[in-house]
This record gives sequence, structure tokens and C-alpha cells, in this order.
Amino acid sequence: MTRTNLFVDVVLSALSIVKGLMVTLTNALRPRVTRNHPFQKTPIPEVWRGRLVHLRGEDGRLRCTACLACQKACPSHAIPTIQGDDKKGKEKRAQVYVWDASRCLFCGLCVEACPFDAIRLTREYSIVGEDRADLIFDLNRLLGPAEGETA
Amino acid sequence: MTTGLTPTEHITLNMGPQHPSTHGVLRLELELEGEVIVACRPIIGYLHRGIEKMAEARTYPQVLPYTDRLDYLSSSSNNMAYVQAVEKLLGLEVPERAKYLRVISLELNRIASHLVFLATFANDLGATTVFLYGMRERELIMDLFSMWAGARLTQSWIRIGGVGADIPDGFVDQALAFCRLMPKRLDEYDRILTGNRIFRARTEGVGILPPELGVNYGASGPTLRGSGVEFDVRRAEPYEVYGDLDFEVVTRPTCDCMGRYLVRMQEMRQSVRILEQCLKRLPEGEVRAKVPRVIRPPEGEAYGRVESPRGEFACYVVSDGSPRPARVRFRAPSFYHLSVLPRMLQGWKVGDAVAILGSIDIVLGEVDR
Repeated sequence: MTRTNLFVDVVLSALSIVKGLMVTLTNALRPRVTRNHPFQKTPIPEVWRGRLVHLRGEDGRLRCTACLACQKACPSHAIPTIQGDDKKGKEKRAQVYVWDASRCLFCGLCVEACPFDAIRLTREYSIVGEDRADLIFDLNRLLGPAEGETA
Repeated sequence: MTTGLTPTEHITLNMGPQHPSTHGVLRLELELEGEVIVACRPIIGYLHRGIEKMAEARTYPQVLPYTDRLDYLSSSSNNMAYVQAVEKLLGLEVPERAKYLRVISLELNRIASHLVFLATFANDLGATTVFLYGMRERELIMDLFSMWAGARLTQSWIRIGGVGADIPDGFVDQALAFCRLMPKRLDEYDRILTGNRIFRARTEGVGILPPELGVNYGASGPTLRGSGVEFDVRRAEPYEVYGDLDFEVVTRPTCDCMGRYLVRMQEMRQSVRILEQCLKRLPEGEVRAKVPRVIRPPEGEAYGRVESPRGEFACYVVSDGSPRPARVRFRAPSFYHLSVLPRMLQGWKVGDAVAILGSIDIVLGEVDR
């Protein structure tokens, strides 16, 4: 490389860096896009596929009739146990319902399969526990709000 | 009399599996002569989950969430390839609106994936600032996905027969706003990175992939188009509504890291173009065809292929008439790019290995499956 070429190259290189720094400067003056998690909560859309809840009908009873449609639809056996009471047909209600969050893929196929609109995936995304047993939810921990209330 | 020089000994260097620029759990066994790579053996399988085998034990709709976990940076193209194969088996006609929504999802995912490429490639080469910018813009796409599908990465939103649900109110406006913003941001990336002297020195003429070699090894996507081969599944065998859309297949003749990088940068602009057309033309109507509750395709086999951000992603499904597929096989573009990598690395220095590996943009989730 001749001396003039080298000089041109150095000048052009320096200019490219100045050009880049201008971009950095404009971005430094833009408003901040990050949030101070966990003190500042990120808005989560209504359709978010988070923790599973059971819904109650207008009469305050569970909507789930233990028909096992969700269990059959689940690709990863995240709903291992469902048992109903001994009533028949539409009167039947779930007594035992286990959801294993550690196996769940959060695909929402169970919600789609439910013919009674009895389960829903909520906006609660932070499902944590101190051991594995904390991630296995029984019916008491799956009870959602009564009709009319928001999740 | 001795010259004082002793013959150099080859040493073996393990790059990975816990190396930040191997983009996942990949191990490269590099054989070095001094600082020059003489041989490279990619060792894969650290992320093997047996998804192809698991698919045989699940019903057709149940396989779908697993396809998300192949190429996790662009789950909708995986969904699309699988769904395309199953729909061919069923002979299912998808509503027009669903086709447009699918293309919107695919192209948004392409931009998101290329932004991750841009971010990590720049970061590997020392430009950490660009990493932050790339991730910032990607977050806008993630917001769009979460308001539509309720998930950021594992969407499973392209379903057998259409899409999971219609787009929510305000989606089109928000997406159009993104389309207006994105070209400006791409200009910014060009100013900070593409023209940068250091970046150019590290990418121009580095990691040559001759077009014949690429074709022979089965490379596809931006990796092959960076070597001047005009091959794009969207153009070669249009699926959904790609046949009606106006876009260019970007190629670069340089065959080097810079060429592959520039192809991806231009592709993002083309994706924005496709998105704008789709969002403006979006027809009204149903988003999901009538699908039986239990899907039992007739005996046979089908092959679905899509242009994923990495290349030709394809899915081969064999049905024996039961509700579960007899065999599902995925063609992952990254696997073929990883096979040609040893040829591309030969003769380059260890420092270039990071640039070359970054430029083929692999995702180990789809390599190991």
C-alpha cells in the first residue's frame, strides 16, 4: 500500500467510526425502552398463555365436568389426573384435577378442546416454586375467580 | 547445524459446547497449526430431544407445539412446514384470510430471526451496541406476537386448517407502524455497522463458500444466496400467497461473510415490503377451515417445504391412516450449513472461526432435534 492510499484509508476508517458514533449519539438521546423489572410491571396481553385456571359458572360451581377432553388433547401429559363425582352427564363435576406446570408446554390445546369453556390460560407468567411439588397444582390452587371478575 | 526451527505440532482446540458464539450447544473440534485451522469436526447432539420419535406417539395436532422447539428463533416457519405437509395429506383448502395471516406471521418471524442474527453476529465481532439495537427492534415484533398468539417464541399459531385465532383490534395499525419504523432503523444499522472499517476487515473476503460447493452440500437460504445462487423456496415453489406478492430474491456474488450478512440485511427490507402488501390486502373472512376433531389423514406421504430465515426447512410426514403419524422427518437447513462449515473454515485463523460460524446463522435446536 502506498503512502497516499494508506492515508486515504485511515481517513475513511476514521470517518466510518464517526458516522457510527453519530448513530450511538442519536440513540442515547431517545427515550428509554427498558423497564425496571420487577418494580415496573410489563403489560401482558389478554390472550397470554400462562398459568392454567378453572372457571366457575354463574351458580358458583365449577364448570369442569371431568370429561377428560383436555387430558386427551394434551401433548405432554401435563394433566395427569382428573376425577369427577358420581353424578351423571352435565351434573357431573370435577373433584380431583391435577395440572403439572413443569410438564406444560403452554400450547393452549387443552383450552381449545374444552367443550364447557371451563379452563383458561391466564396472564400469570411467573410460576415458581421451591421444589417440584410446588409446580403440581391441585384443584384448590387452580380455582379462578367467579364469573364477572377479572383474572 | 540446526536452524532452530522445530516442526510445528498440531494441537486440538475445543470450541464449545459452552462457547457464547457457538449459538447454542455446539462443539467444534478444531485442529490447529499455530493459529491456522487445518481441520474442523463439528460435534452435535447436545440438544437432542428426539422430537421426530416423540411425534410418532402423538396425534397430528399434538405434534405442532413440538415443532416450535426446533428452530426456536422462527417457530412459525417450522409450524408452517409441518402444517403444509399435513394439509397436503388431508387435501385441505385454507381460507384466504388465513393464508395472508400466515404470511404475516412468517415474515415477522423472518425479521425477528434476522435481527437476532444481526445482533449476535455484531456482538461476536465486538460491536456490542448493535446487539442492543437489534434486540430492541425485535422486542416490537415479540409484542405483536404476544398480542396475537399469547406467546413470544413458541407460538404454535399456524394450525392445521388455518391460524389459531384472528388478529386482535389494533394489530394491523401496530404492524404498519413497525413497517414504517423498520427501514429507518435498518439505515441506522448500515451506518453504524456495514460501513465500519473494522467490521469490513473482519468479514470481507472471509469464509469463502463457492456456489458449487454450497449447492453440493445442500446449503440454502441466505447462506447460499450470499454466494450468488438465486434460490428461494418462496419463489421456486410458492406456498400460501407468495406467488401473488411482489418481492425480490436478494443475492450477493461475493461468497464471503459480508455477502451473507448483506443478503440478510436486504431480506429484512424485502420482508417489510411483503408485510406492507399483506397488511393492506388482508381479505375478510374465516381464519380456520373446518377440521375434524380427530385428524385421520388417508394413507400416504407428503412433503412440506418453506423458506425459513435460515434456508429450506422441510417436513416429511408419512401417514398409515391412524390418528398418529407413522413417521415425521424434518429437514433442518442449519444441519447442511454445519456440514459445509469444515470446508469453509480450512485455512482461516481461529479468530475468523467466530465470524464464519456466525455468518451461517445456525440454530442448534433444529440441528439436534
